[in-house]
Amino acid sequence: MSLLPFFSFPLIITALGEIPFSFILSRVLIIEPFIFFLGILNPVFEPVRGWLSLSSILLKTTLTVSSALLLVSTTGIHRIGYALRLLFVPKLFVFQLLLIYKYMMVLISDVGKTILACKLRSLDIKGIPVSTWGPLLGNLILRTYKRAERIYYAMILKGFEGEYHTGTNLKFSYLDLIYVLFWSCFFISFRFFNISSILGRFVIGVFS
Amino acid sequence: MSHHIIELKDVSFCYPDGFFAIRNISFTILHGETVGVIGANGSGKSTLLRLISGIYPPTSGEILIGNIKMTNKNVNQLRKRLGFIFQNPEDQLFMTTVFDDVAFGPRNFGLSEIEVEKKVDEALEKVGILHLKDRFSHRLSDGEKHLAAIASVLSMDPEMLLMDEPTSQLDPKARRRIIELLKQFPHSKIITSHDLEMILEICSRVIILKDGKILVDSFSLDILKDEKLMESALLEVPISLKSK
Repeated sequence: MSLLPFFSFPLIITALGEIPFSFILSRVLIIEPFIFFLGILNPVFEPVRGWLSLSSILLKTTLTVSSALLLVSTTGIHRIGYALRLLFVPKLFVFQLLLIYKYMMVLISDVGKTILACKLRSLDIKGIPVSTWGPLLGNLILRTYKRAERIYYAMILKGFEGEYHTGTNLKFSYLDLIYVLFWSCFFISFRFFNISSILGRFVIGVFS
Repeated sequence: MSHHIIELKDVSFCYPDGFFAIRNISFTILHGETVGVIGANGSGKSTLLRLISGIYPPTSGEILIGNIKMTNKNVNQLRKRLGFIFQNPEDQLFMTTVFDDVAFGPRNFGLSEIEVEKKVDEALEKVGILHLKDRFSHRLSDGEKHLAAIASVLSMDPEMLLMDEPTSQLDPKARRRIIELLKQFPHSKIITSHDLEMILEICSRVIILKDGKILVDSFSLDILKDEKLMESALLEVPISLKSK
């Protein structure tokens, strides 16, 4: 129960950022089954506490995934990249992250085209035969490698020498300070005090 | 203005697998000249452009950009003078928005954000897609992607342009737009293409490559109407010249 008050963070940020709840929810739900299967054995091994740990894992994942989604939705991937550089994350990792973000769509469409081409030539067979997966994936890797090479050439021809310039020059404002302080206090107090229980006792006290 | 010269002296290039894609090629491209490089698939056109841009180092021979010999040490400096437009614009548009893609080069040159924005606006204005400035690159049409890729190179103020099949995969209207645009550029240009009508319209000089060697290097009209020569290079005389 002490985890539930933490949900006020994603709820408040979603509302303030004017992001549709369904957008965040639909993406969180994609992840949930994986997490569910990750913790499914907990109740088997520990019949009493297992259910508690499973629900705790599910709640924590929902909080983490929704917060990460909110960060990308409200900040934008380039600003995140810039912030990571300010936090001294090596430029190679930051650039890799940004390129993955950008080329995910291109790669997904490539995979889609390859699978379609494969299906069109195996109309009587359901799905893709296991024997085809090897060459199909190999081909995709080779194509990805070639594409990565071409992109790298394009980058060095545009003067890229390892440093990633986003053009962003953000300054830390008072508003940012208030934001950080507020949410830090919020998380620390919710972590060390059982706010729901305190609130519950307070409400009961008022009404009695 | 003699510094806008590209010169190749006995250049050869061998891929790591032992395949010689370019064999003893020599030519000079003068300031403001537009040269079309044509040839069958695998004749070495794209490899030639990669050699000139310094992506591949020649196995033997010399490449001079503006009378300066290209070496490992000065290749980055010389590249700044060349603008390379790739065949597939998706390889060249690797940022999220059109603005960021066009700004990538100027930012790498260390320009201030105000100057970068000015360069981006100028480049987008030149190719006529200023209205696409804030659009996501991957959502553009193929024609728009080509124009954005050209703008991303123009924003770096190159002295010479290298273009690998600039009109492939384009619909007639987008193709016409690119042709008209290329005609306006005062830069020295090397264009590789199978679109011989476009080569005829833009280039005053044509080089035919065959098996990595120069088969002929002369005025475009003289070459393109020569049926025998074109057939020997596994090419065809453009339709507009056939009917004459």
